[in-house]
Amino acid sequence: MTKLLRALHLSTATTMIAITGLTIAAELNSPLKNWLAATFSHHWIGKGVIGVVVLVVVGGLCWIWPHRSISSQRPVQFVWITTLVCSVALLVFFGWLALSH
Amino acid sequence: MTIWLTLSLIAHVAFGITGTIISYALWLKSLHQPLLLGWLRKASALATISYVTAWLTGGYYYVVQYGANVKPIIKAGAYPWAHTFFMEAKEHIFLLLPFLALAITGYVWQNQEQIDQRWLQRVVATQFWLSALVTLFGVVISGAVR
Repeated sequence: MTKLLRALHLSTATTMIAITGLTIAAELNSPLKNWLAATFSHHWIGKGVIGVVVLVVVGGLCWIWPHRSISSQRPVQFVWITTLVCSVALLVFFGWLALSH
Repeated sequence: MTIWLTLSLIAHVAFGITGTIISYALWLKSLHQPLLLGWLRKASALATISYVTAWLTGGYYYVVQYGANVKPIIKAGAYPWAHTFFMEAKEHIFLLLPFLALAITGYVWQNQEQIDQRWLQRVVATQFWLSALVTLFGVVISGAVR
């Protein structure tokens, strides 16, 4: 696996974690949600913009950071597991939110 | 609703469904032996473009129209939880799709010997099922509005 692809996969997974964490945190913390809305005109836009920033920054860092050789499938495995965990977390969280209101 | 909002909504649905169909085709083709790398590369790039376009057009409609004019209708109707669960889950799970599509596109642009077909199958299947789920939630939201 090339350095670039490894960086892409690690940054993709990190972005998903960041978006999921930010989403849940913003729903539970009104000042954070209000800050996102005030800064980016809408909280959902803010999550998207922050997601892209995380992708670029983490991707860049992974690309320039020296690393030991790792299994070429480890990054894509990380992407897959992260996708599943983040999706389930969002479904469970919003299901809980809907039931508690 | 302005013409631009109408076109945004149509484009969002069209590109979202296109992305879902391409994801399904990617899943089927990932089962093929040997891998049809040329096809997979073009299709995964198209899927990424579809999801990003659906993201941008849907985002425009969501920010300008949905919050102020559609959400109150759903919240005041018989199914207020439709927004809380289906729309909120949809809009946030959807945010994962363009990044996942980008990761898949990068993965299939490697040399054949570096691609593990089992992992490719898992990832593209996940992309398809998430996209299908988001599409289904969109149908539910439309029903709640009516």
